[in-house]
Amino acid sequence: MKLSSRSLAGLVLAVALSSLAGCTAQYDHTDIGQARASVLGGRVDRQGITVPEGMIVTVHMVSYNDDNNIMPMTLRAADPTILDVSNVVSDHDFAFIGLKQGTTDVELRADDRVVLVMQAVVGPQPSVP
Amino acid sequence: MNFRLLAMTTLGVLAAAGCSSTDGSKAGELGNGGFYFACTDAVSCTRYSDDAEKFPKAVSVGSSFQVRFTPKSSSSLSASDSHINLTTGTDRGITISPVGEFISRGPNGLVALKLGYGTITARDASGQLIDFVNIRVAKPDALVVYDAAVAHGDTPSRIESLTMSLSGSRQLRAFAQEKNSVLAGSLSVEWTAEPKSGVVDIIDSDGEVTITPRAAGTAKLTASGGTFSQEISVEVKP
Repeated sequence: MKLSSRSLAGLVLAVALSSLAGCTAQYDHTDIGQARASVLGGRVDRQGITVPEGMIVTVHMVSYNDDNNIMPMTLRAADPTILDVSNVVSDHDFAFIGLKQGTTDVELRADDRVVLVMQAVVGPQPSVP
Repeated sequence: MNFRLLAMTTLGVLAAAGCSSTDGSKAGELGNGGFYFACTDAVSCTRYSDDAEKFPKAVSVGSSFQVRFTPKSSSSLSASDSHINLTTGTDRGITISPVGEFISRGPNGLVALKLGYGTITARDASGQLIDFVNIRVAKPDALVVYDAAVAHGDTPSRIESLTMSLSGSRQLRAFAQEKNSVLAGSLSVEWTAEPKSGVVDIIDSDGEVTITPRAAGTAKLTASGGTFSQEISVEVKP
């Protein structure tokens, strides 16, 4: 099979572009530390997020690319009236703030791409004795 | 004292010291600063104000109060911010805010609205969470009516009935209790008299009621606040 010069140039360009793409580090994984529960409990892990209404659960989260470098990341609740997700002043610490009872998704974006979606449940406070 | 006892005592003191910050404020849950409590009613405020050991665990539903925050000097805030004292609201870019529906903003600071545990946050100018503190919003199981002349900070005697002469007047206040403990917060107490006129006149001002006898007879005085009411009988003698 003979390739025309135009086809050959296209093939070379395609290979070059794919090589360049291979040089860009991609999202690899996110480490989720031990959550700091509220006085009424709560958790943040790969299974999801639970926060009692009116309470705050904090956690240390870091995303890495496949070069094992830390990636800039943001967290956002799909319904911010149910759950507020805030950065804490300490690096890579995040606060999950239960505003009202309900369920919402929390998107984790690394390098401005959604890399993880976690379900969050803001539940009622246990009845106070 | 043997060595084991000495060691346990030392650990105990260190542990107790770790429960609060050293500047007299209650350490926030994240350890980035200290919170102060303040309100204006004598009995239910003075005992809880401006001391970490006194920061209340519970406030009465319906009461108002203020919380101030001082960031720790070693926190990531700039040094110029390290000694600021904040009243409720925003100052130097730091905002004190309640979380959810348990505590809200009111004209006199914060208002405890819903039974349960409330959270109060301190955020920096960019909205990042610096620290937070929890406080329980409790329903009083008693309103204690007391003589307003009692010294601030004392636990005054409960007044259940009053006997007055036609000359002179009395000033009364009320505070909320839960399981015989004073609940923190300035409680908005509404005073009413029955019959409304004839035996006594009442003037309700800033939580304090002034009772002025008008004629001999009996009346019923009711103090209402924190979803609870307390009645006292008033007898005016000729």
